[in-house]
Amino acid sequence: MQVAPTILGGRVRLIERFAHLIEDLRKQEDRLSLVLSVLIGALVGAVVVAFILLTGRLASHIYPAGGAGWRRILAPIVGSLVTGYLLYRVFPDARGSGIPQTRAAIFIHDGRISLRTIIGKFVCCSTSLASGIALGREGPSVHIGSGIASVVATRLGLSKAQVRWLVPVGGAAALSAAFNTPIAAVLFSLEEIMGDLHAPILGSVVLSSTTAWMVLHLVLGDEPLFHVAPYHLVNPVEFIVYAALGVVGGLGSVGFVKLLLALRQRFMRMPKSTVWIQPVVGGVTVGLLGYYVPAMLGVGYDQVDKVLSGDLALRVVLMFGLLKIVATSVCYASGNAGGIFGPSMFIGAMMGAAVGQVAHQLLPGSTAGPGAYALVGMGTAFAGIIRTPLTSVIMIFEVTRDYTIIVPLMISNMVAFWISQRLQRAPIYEALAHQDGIHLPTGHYRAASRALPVSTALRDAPGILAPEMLVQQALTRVETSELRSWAVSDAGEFLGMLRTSDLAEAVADGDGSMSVRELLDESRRAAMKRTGEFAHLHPDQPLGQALARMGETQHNVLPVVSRANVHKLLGIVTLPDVLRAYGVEEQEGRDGE
Amino acid sequence: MESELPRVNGSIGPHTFLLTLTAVVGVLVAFLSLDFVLARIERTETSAHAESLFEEGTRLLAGNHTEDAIDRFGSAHAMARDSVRYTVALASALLADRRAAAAEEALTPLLLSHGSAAPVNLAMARVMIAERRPQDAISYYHRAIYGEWAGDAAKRRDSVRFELIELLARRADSSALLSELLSVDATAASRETRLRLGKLFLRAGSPQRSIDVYRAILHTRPHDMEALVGLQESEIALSKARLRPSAP
Repeated sequence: MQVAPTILGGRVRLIERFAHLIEDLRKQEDRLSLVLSVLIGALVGAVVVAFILLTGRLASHIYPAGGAGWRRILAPIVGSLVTGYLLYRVFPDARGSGIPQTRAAIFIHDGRISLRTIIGKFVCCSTSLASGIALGREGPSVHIGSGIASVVATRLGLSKAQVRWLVPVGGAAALSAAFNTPIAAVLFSLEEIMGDLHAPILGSVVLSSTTAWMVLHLVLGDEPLFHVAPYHLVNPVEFIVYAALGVVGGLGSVGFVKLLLALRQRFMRMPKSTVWIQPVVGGVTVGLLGYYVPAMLGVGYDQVDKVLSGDLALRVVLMFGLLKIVATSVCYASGNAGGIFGPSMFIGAMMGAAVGQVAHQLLPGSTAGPGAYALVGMGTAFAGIIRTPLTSVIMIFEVTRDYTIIVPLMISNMVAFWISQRLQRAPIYEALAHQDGIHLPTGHYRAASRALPVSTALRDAPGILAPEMLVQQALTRVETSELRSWAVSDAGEFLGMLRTSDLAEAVADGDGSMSVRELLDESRRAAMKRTGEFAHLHPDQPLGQALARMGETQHNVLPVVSRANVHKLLGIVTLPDVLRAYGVEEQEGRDGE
Repeated sequence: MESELPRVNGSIGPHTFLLTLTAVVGVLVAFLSLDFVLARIERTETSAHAESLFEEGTRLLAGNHTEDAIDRFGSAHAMARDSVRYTVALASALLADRRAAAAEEALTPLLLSHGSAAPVNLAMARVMIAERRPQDAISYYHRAIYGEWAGDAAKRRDSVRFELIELLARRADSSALLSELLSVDATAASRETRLRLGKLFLRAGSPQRSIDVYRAILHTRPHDMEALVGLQESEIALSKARLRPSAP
């Protein structure tokens, strides 16, 4: 009769031990980090695999084998209409690729990504990609993975800084599962998302990426994304051809990025009431292209597989490459849900195959078939468009599992990267964020900002000028002040800075009755010509940047604006404040004594 | 710097923490289950589609529509790259279209994963013949003979051996030919096979063995005309050989 109490007592002890274990886990951050990295990796892997499979199933129902041609026109239009409405009304943060949004979450929003955004990204991207919209699944997967990490960390009560650290961990897991390249996923997470290859989250990112990759293999088996023949360097003369491929890839990448950004700028200028229907422009474009050229539907990895086998003719690869540039640019610019990661690979493969075919026709005995060039072209376009050269080299290496491809890849990638940097200043994700008024920090400057940030010298902006004020009135108000530059703001929206000398010159020229807005527009136009953008700072930038920018612009006062919205004035930084922050003023005082 | 990673800020209690962790594991299990179900459906549908493409390709190849057949076999192969049937069919169609290099490219990865599969080795042997690499072809024929066959293995092995024998006979490689013929001689039972053997022994320069084969046939079928003619030819060849002056 003593058996039941013994079993009961045993169970209680087991529960107590488990409770202690959990409590220990909560308190020991190293262990918790380890457990969460594995848990997030597994969860993100499972969700991303479901995302891929569900999208595939939906696509096979929308486009059954031997289906009628009209489906190819109608499906993208309906898909973009439905997702356009959902993105406008229900999931406004799920629009676009997901990479800039993930970076914004890390650097601006303390790592917060809402559950609604994750659901929106999953549903809208799955629908739009299945309907044939010419965008990729990798960027959205990264956003979904990062969002899952953010939600899990938030719900577990982790602090803001800790949530922020876990977001790239989720992103790496997602890319590892979506692209089947665990090492490249780690590098992408550090190089692109964090912008810092020395980020202290390396261990966690590796763990989550590996776990997600294991989940992918557990469910789908060891099936590579692309099937490629073993790579061989036929003759050293091929290095020259690979450099030429780098030139073509660099120029093609710049063309694609510029077209996409220009189209997006045009769509953004349209009335806000049209935002929900704008994606349909992408749907119609893809529908019409897809009716005549079915390969334009979706991301087109099956065509990439074909071109890697060298199965497509020169005119076909040229046509596919050009049409894809147009289709992806219009789809993305019009606001459809989906990324540009996959299409970049497609465009690169076609450019590579074209160069390879021409080279093989001219030097048949000294060059490999077009498949090898298509493979290198994928990495080249990735380096030119996304601007992560290290990730692109490792990614193609992982796809081929062939070491001999590394050197041609490096040559081609570096040439494309260099050309792209010269002709298109901001990398694509940074430029997209800029268009949204979000200024994300670069890795270079974040390293410098670990010293003394602008926020240490920040002060409230005194005497903000209204744009409707007359120049004469404004001068009367500010001429007695020690400050020499003034913020102009309209109902909380920061418009720019005006120097006292600008106001005085305008009055002296007889333009005292001109409005401050008109004078500001003139001044900004002149400044834009000089530097390309109006001078400003962000609170987390290094203070040294403030000095450099003051020297460039001849302003001794600079506005400090939000990264999330450049029209939100947070305060100003003056030259004396900067010097004081460095302790120069105190030193001068002592010298004087 | 790993120590900067997660540190619970104490905003939730241990029970909520445990519940959240349990919920996360629950969601993980749910998604994994969904993944396995979806993957199974996907695999079933893909293999059914691949099979229908393979059948269509076989029909097209029989109707001499080689280009279309290659397209169907290629699609089936893309859906199930590990399938020996689809890959061999694709390689054979490519070979029929005089695209030996492409056929070799299709077969090479499969040989790495299915090195002992006899049909793959046989297909590769044929590719090697088309590429005028007889020595490699002989090697692949041997692998096909001693490889794994599904179904009637003995019959298929004999058929492959005769294909190899034909190659050796064309190359006039008497010693290799004789060695292969002796292997078949031990197992060949049907009249047709033995008649063929008799002719081939003669081509291999061994009329005595040819005579023995024909006599064995005539022992059970004394009026077999083909065997009688073969025997006569072999005896003439043997006489000529005896009359030929021997080497000093």
